[in-house]
Amino acid sequence: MRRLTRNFVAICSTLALTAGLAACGSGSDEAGGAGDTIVAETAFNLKTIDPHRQFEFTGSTIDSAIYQTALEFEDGDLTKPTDGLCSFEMSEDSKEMTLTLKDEDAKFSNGDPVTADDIAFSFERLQGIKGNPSFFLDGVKVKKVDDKTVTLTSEEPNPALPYILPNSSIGIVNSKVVKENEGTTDEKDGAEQFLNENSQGSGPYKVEKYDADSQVVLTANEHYNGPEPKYKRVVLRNVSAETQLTDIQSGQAQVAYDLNSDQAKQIDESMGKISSLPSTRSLYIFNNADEKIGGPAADPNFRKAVMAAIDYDKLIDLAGKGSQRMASLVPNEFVGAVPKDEAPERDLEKAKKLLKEAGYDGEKVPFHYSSDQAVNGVDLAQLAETLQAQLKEAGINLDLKPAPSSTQLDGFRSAKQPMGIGTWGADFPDPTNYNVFIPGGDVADRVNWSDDPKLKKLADEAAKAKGDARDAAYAKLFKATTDTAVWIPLVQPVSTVAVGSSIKKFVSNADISFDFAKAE
Amino acid sequence: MSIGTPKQPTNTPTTEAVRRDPVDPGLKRWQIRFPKALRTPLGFVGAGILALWLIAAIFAPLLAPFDALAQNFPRLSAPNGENLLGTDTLGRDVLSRILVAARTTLPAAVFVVICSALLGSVLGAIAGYFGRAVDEIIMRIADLVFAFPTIILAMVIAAALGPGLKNAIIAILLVSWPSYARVTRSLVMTARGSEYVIAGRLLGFSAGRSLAREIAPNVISPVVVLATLDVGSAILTMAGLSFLSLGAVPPTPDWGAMISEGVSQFAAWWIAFFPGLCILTIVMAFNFIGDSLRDTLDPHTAQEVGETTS
Amino acid sequence: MAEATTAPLGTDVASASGEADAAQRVKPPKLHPLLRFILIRIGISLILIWGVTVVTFLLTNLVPTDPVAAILGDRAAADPEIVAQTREKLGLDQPLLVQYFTYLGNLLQGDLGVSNQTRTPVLASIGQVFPASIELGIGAILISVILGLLLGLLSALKQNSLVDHAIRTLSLIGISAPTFWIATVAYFVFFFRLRVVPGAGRLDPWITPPPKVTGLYTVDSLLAGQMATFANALGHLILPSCVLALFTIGLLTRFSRSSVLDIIRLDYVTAAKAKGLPARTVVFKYIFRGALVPIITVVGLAFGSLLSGAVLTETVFAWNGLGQYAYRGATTLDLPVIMGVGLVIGIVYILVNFIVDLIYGFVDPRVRVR
Repeated sequence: MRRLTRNFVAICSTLALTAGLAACGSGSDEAGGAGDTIVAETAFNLKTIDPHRQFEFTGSTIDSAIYQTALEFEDGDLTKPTDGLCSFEMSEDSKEMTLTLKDEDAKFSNGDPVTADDIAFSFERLQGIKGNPSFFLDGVKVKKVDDKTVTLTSEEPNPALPYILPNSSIGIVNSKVVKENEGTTDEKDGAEQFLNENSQGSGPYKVEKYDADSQVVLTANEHYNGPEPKYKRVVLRNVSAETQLTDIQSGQAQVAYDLNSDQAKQIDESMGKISSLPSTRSLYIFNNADEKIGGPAADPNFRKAVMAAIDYDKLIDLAGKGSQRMASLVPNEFVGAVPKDEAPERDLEKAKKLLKEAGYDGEKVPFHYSSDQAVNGVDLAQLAETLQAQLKEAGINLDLKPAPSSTQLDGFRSAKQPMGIGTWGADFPDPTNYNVFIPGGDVADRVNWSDDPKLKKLADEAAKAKGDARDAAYAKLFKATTDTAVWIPLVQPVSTVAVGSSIKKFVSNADISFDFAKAE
Repeated sequence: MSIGTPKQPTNTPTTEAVRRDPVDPGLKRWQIRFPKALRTPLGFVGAGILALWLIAAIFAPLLAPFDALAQNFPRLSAPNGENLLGTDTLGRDVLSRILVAARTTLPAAVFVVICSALLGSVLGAIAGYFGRAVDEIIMRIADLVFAFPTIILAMVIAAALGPGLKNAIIAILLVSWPSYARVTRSLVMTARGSEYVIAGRLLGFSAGRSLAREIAPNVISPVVVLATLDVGSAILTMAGLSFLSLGAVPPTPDWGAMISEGVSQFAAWWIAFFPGLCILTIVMAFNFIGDSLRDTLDPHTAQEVGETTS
Repeated sequence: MAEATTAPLGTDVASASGEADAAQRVKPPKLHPLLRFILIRIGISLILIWGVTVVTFLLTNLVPTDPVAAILGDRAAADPEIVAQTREKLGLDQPLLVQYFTYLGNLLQGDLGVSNQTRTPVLASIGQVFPASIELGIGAILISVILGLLLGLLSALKQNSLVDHAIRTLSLIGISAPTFWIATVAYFVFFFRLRVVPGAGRLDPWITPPPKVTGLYTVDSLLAGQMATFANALGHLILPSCVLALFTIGLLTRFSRSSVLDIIRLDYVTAAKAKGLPARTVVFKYIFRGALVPIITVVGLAFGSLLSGAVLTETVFAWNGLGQYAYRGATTLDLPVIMGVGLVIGIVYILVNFIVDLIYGFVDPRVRVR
């Protein structure tokens, strides 16, 4: 028996030893990544990288490295659209835009030159396949004039068009190759799979391997007409935020997109840098205007009480350094934003008075939100719990109704939820993108808010305004919208990118949070 | 039935019932043996831990130093003199939340186990007593439930019903009854063949009377043991569901949800560590007690309950 | 662990005997009893697999979610034309029964549908992630078999000693800990603080996976002769498989202890001891061999339980396996993924049970005769 025990111990220690050895073996590996590869990490929300179908953060991050667009934003400044593949001219009435292909020898990854045909085809395919981003060019007629020129004509004035075209969903593809692979400009298009595995862009990178579950690998496009990127290979991995943090700290990854403010604080200078920029997202509370569904929330006094009961400073604290107050749903950097010093303030006395006027007696109001969603590091579940505690101080009782995003979206879109947290990410940086929140717009329909003559008049005025007057007219419109308290703006979160210390120089701006091609 | 059974694959209506004294069916023995089981060291420790937890749960409002929902401390502060176990991401006191969470977890787990023991035993008894088609249908459904990993099935059911404690309980109930059905069925089949039951049947007793009066006493003590062991796994499954945010709806404090919050705040280890420790100790207590109880059963029945059930 | 409890209860002889009963009643043509037994087991397994498809289909149809909402962006969802087109493409405009038969038909052709979240065929994704879980499962099984058997044997041989009590207590504690918590704590201590194991994932991110043969990185890297990759993959495997093994070690210890105790009481062992054979010979030649058969089946069943234990473990370790895939599918209510994973795991369970039943059929004639 004794001998048996000894054997047993011996076996155990052998096991432990092997484990230790293996651990040492891997532990001693050089941390920091192999020379010309960047490992970037994000929690994937990836359905496709076919530019004309892609509509999520992950897809657009990848596509902006693969595809060039007709227009771009000057140094990432979202208020200044500028030349991309083309130069542009807008007619006086904002109805016709002329794009002229620039003579810069742009080439697709197979060496073909970019032509006006490719540009016209890309626009028409975006429109025709009826995908998520098709609405970008709704009501726009595309016409190829000659080998250098394409015109875009709209029935109504379309001053937002220059702000729309830089979107990576409107990436220019190699029309010849895409057509050869079942690409069309109508619903019969069958090139999605092909484009996922064989990108057809003229940007700095091309796809090497696409796996929507785990990782996407990009390699340099040797025909790219810009400066050769230092990092020839980009590995974008699907990992959760907490793993991203440890990977940046240990040098296993160089770029992390999803850290929240608490996690970002744990990265000190020896490990890397944090680039914080205003995001283009808005977080808000929606209130259903239909009394049958909204209950108390349909009462303007109740809504205003909610607005006065929220402790906005604490929300900023939760969202982290760099997040901002909002006076409307339009992000502070956009044309048409309401100055943030006009944002609502906490006033519990006022809130209680308004509640009395509304005749609210503490009944529970269902409050819906996506339990699995974080917006730029702001966890919606935590936000909801915070709001619940704050409103309680004013005597408002929220009944939290968490659900996975797809269930939550379904309920919200069918206009059945009295109250809840909404999020909106700008599709393009122009106030017209926020018209959906005005009665008659798609999102206003979801809270059964169908009519408001005053807002309609302001909206008409804003649509006609030009130049600097446009900014003021839209600001007036959205200020008046906030005053109804149907939408209660909460916070504009901050977009945080953590960059590992092995990268010495990088470009990060509001348009592209990390530019792989320009990293050194 | 369990892995334990393969060793007794015959599963015949064995001599066991015959061996058993019909005048002194299980119920009485169980009454005597419960305290005896608690006198073994493991049982004693288990009962001690459980008693502490019961006191904590009952007196949580008095014991908790702060309001479990109030967000009025600095966020993410490490354990200190004021907040003995630190604070969470929203600035709530972790100790208070842990204590209050015991008040939902413990009764919910006991409740779900009682329900599934009742449901499973009744179905198992019906299957075992009537046999044939009824038996086939009930036991095939039980097999089907066994074919899915508990957590995945519970996950889908909870997702289908929507998050919430009530739905989590339903989900666990639906996935946990089959083990009782199996044990009860085989015990009933054994008892059915025994002389006193046959005698009763000859006297013209109804099936209901025979099940309730003559067979039930043989079945109760194994089922009680299985149920004690099962409270632990019910707590674990429930914690797993709330870890996946399919359990209690916030802001109700919940151990599983607290761990999941802690996972994303690695540096603030106290958020996840202490609730996990609570789950560990309480599940351990039930396993200790259940294990000691099982040892008091006769070996054959103990095998039915399953050497490896936890 | 809770998520695994039912696993070991998986197969049972009660049902086997139930079928045997049924078979007796219908008085089948005279077949070799063993062959008949196998045929019945195959039939039962097929019926169960069919049942699994019904259950997965029904459950996912109870889920109050619209896949269209998951697929479409905010703007596209406001366009009724796009919504109608998407519904039609997904076949959601058909009645439920038609949808089920379409699903079953596709299934028979090996088509498990396409993920709502990633638009990737579910079968292809499962093919990708399955080897990862198998690798983790094998690692955990190896650890738990070696430690579990040894501890169980030790515990049985020294019955009622201090060692026995200590081992029994520890094994009870082992099955009492929530896996996801142990995983988090282990990751925090051994990686985050001590750095003795590599981080999350199956390989360090900049290492290219070895050319795919089996999908198991350790095996593939050996086949390709890439020793550095092998060491890295093994390093990544250690912590998650230890965590996952914790529960099965507890199970196996308890089970092997009781099996060995049963054998020890048997006459031939007593006889061997009486003959004065050395303790080691008695232990390995008689006791261990006798206890081995039931133990093997527990190992088989434990493997199934590992698949479910992996759901939460893989999530913590960013292990890109079936568990994490199921977790992502469930949290985003990606129905085709949930159905696919449920089906695959259900089939694996049923197959394992089938094999276990067969082993018993061969080993213990009483099972098939009755």
